[in-house]
Amino acid sequence: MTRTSALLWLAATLIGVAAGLAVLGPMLVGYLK
Amino acid sequence: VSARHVVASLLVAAGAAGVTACLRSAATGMRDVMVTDGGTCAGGGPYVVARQCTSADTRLLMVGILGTLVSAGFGLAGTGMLGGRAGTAGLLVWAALFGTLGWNFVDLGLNPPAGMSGGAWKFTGVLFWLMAAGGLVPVLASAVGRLRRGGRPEPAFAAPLVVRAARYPGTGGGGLGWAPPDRGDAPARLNLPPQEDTR
Repeated sequence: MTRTSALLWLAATLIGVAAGLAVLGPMLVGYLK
Repeated sequence: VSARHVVASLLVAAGAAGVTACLRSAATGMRDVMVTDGGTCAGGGPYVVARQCTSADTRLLMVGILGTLVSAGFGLAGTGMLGGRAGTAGLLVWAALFGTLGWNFVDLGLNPPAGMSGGAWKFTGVLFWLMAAGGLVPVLASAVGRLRRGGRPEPAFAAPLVVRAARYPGTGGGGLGWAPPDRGDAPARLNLPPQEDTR
């Protein structure tokens, strides 16, 4: 894995986790409850 | 940055978002079962169920568990496209899964609902966190090792095999470098005496 790929992976993971915590997670739980 | 990088990054981001959201769903469903039913519930079957699972809890748990697996698949695929190890990303998902569910046990073990004892939940929570550490420690060790090497990938696990050829002693040069050994006094063929017919 090159440095560029590693940085892209880290950024994508952090953005995904933040989106999951802030938006998707509450939406999903609210929809399923 | 190529188009492949962009697609892979989108897969990783979608996978991470999906895993996070689905883990939250599973953790919420699990917490509801623990708080309202004492940790166990059931549904269906030929016997009378004392604590019936609510349909919301069933949905939260099923979507949470299956969604986590599917989302992890997207994330692992993206990781592989970026040239990373899918196994390492899988260990992170493992750590997130057991860390999140372990938090439910530890939190409710320390602050049990009214009328419940949290001793067993505390023990189970610590056990879950130990399992989470089993996934997290190798990933962190690998990351620290890479940083110490200045970002270079780790060397090959084993050196490539080297086959060394040597001439058979006394055969001289030429040909393929091998000739059958000198038989010395051994007979050219094995002569067996004729067997008597004992029938």
